Amino acid sequence: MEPQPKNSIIARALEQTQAQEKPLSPDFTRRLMARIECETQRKAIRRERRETALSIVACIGVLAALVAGTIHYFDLDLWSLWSERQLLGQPLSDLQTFEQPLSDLQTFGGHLPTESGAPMSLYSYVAVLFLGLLLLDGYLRQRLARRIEKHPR
Amino acid sequence: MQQDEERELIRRIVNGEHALYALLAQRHQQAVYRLVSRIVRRAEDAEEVTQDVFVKAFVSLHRFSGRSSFATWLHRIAYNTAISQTRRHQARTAEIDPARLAALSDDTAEAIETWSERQELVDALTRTLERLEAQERALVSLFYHDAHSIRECATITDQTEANVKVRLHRIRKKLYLLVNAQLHGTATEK
Repeated sequence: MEPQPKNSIIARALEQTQAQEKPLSPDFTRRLMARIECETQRKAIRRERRETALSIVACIGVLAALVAGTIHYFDLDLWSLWSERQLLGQPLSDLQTFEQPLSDLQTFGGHLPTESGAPMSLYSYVAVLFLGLLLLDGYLRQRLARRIEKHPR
Repeated sequence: MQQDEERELIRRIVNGEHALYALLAQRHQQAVYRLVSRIVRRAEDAEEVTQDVFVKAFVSLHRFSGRSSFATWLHRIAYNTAISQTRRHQARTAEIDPARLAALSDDTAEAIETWSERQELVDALTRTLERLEAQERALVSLFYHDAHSIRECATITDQTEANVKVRLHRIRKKLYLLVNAQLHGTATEK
């Protein structure tokens, strides 16, 4: 059977303890609401920053997709072009690839990238870009978290 | 304020009417402060911890599902926050020799409920309550002062109802021994 709390001598002793306790300060609610206001603002700023970071990542993603699409459309194999230039011992700055007409480019080095079993296919490019985006996303999130921790406002 | 009204108030706060939170806080702040004070004991900390409790409750308000009453949910946050605080400021509490506790018959310990309210006894009990552990003080306060049911106490302290009953029984035994020691000068502590 449950004891009757209110009639107990323990309840009386607790009431006596409470009478000795310091009461809540009169401005408790006002101070609390000021903190709540700060908390609301902090949440809004955090959300805004997160959205900005995600927008940057999304923009980079779209750009990367465009680059990957362009590479695929023009059937460019940058890796082969770059490595062949390297093999010929020419500095990278001499790489004239993008200034040459597309017809020349496709026969550059004596082969078409797709026919030569190019070391990096479109899928590899996309995979690398995706990986890069993931890393960038992780980095941005970390940076954001650090900034919020440092400047909680 | 009825529970339905309180839920409606919470819905409006979650939907952006943050100023209404003052109404909720005003309604519950004394009860929360009382519980926190019993656990934390340092008056200067108790008010700050109470503030923390209400800020935490505000941040998590959208997660309040309404399975228990808002008061029970809030008390649970208060209990956890205050207990965490006491871990940082450990105060000396009374430790009873387990053999003496076991030797005390259940009926004798339960007799504490029917003790006459002689001022001398109340004073001794008041002093003794201060020497209980933080969790024990919280449980005693919730059950005896705030008249929460065993089920509510179990929800707030995250224990089973059976466990709460056992703990309350042990607390009564402990109080009995400590009060007797105070009044008759017998040694009970380890």
